[in-house]
Amino acid sequence: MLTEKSIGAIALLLTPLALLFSTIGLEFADLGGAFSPVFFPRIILWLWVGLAGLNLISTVWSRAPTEARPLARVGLLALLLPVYALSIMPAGFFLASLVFCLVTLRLLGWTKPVSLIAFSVGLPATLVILFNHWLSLPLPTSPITYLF
Amino acid sequence: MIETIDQSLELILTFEGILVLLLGTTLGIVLGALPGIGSTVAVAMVLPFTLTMSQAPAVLTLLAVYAGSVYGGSISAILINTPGTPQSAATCFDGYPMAKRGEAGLALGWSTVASVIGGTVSAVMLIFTAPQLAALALNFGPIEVFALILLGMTCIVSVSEGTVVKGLMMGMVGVFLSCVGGDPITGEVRFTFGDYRLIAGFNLLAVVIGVFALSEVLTRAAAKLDSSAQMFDFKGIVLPKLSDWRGRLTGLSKSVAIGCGIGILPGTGAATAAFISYAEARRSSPRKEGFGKGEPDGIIASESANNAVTGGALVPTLALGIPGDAVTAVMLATLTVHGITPGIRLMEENPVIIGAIFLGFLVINLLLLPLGALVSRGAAPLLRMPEAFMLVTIVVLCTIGVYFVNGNPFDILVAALAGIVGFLLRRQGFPMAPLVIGMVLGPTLEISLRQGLILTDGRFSAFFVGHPIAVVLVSVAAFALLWKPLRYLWRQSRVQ
Repeated sequence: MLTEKSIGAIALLLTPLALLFSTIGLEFADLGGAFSPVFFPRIILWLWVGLAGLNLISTVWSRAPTEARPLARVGLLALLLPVYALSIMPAGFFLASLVFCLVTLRLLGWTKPVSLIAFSVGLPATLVILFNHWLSLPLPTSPITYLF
Repeated sequence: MIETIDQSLELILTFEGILVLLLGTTLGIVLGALPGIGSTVAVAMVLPFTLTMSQAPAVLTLLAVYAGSVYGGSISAILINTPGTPQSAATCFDGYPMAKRGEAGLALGWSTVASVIGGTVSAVMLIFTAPQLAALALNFGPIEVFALILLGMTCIVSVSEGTVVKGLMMGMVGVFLSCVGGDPITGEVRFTFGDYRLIAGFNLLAVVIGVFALSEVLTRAAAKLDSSAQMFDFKGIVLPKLSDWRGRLTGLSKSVAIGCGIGILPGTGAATAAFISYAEARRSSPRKEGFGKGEPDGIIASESANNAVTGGALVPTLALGIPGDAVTAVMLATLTVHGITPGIRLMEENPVIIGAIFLGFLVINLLLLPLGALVSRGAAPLLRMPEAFMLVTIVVLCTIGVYFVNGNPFDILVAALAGIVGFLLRRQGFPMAPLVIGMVLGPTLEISLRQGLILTDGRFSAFFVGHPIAVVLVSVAAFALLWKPLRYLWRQSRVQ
């Protein structure tokens, strides 16, 4: 039966194989020996394949169960991280961080509304003041900043 | 370096220099005391605040945060039985029982003095050892450098937590990640798959912050957030009397030696040193029956060893450009941000800065005594801070840190994705330190191997003819890699 561990082990084996496959037919791959830009990465990828194979064998052999942990909350939080990263430039640091703090704190089980809002506004605001005005390191601003 | 010592002193003995030592150490103690942050994340969090500083104060701030955080971990270990950093886990065994019987101040006193002694001795050792090692490495050609990096990497993975295979694999992943982008010899672009944002490769700090800080946030979010830690009454540090040290100095010396020795070995880290030192103290102490019930010898063993590691870990980092652990890998990466190129010529090319680092590190360790006494009382209430707030603060501060390194928003996305991948890998028992160290050492390993092969017309066997140092280094690397499996096979044969 496929477990989280065995799926992970298979993914770790397929990744270097796919990367090795991607080096076939590259026009600069045949520069010859150590001059080839893929000479060193290919060695590393083959070593990775070998180690991933050993890891897969030991995973199947051991059949140790993965520790069961609630993944719904952490799954949502994991989704939030790239969303936050992508929203910083278009929405600006303050707005993106404010929304991120509100949603994340709520996800982590914080329910007191006053401290939830105070912290979500206070942390980004403090950092904007600190970096933009005190350290003169401007954080990304949103297109609507001029309205304020 | 002796010739430039006055210039190095001038860098420290300025208003800015003294201020950053005081503030950095204070910040390090506070961040180290907060469970879940750890030294690596603490250094990464403080990095953006150093970007406007000149080289020496910036590096000194990060060093102060590093040393301060290792000590700070003992505050939460003693007061709430939760180590602020993994290095202080062994301190819980005897620190918390002392706090439970109303001696929290004295337990912190023992930990403070032991930390100061361990850190100071390791700083002195760093000053005397690193230049000798760097001078030796100056004669190395590409073949010796390749062998040296190989040795560094095998040491790292062979001692990483989990299995050797998993550690080695993470090392390979790290080396591969360092290959993405421009080829250092021909300039051709590799493994970008048409994405122009990858031409410069992955930003090391973005990956480090992702796999350490953000994956830690996800790991803690996946666990049940614990707000039930009980803190015992703490009115300030009580330093042990001189007479209380009678019969404990041998143990202290042994622990400091263990910390310094283990620190020099790449990849071992302070947590390993603290546990080995604790086990040795428990075996050899005349008060061994008190261990686990609040015996100061246990605190001394753990805290002197983990602080002694800091100086030891800086020896290969500064002398050879091989990071001693994940924190020193971040330190090396931050040196690059501040315009200092790490590697075997680091000390030769930057004698003034390196001199300032040595002297500053000594001062930082001495500062732990007064600052530890002052700051621990103020840091204690922070331990009651809700974990949810702390996790959100880590993400936001790390995001700023990643953004400011290059001003590139793509790095923030890399950090976020590295955090998710790091979390999934950590769930399956993969250590993250080899990945980071592989990424740091990867470029040097590639260049030295390819240069060596070009010089010898592609004959790998020629690497070892006329290069006795390379032969020795590769032999030690092979031993470091094989000793665990060989020891296992030997034990199995003995059992049979």
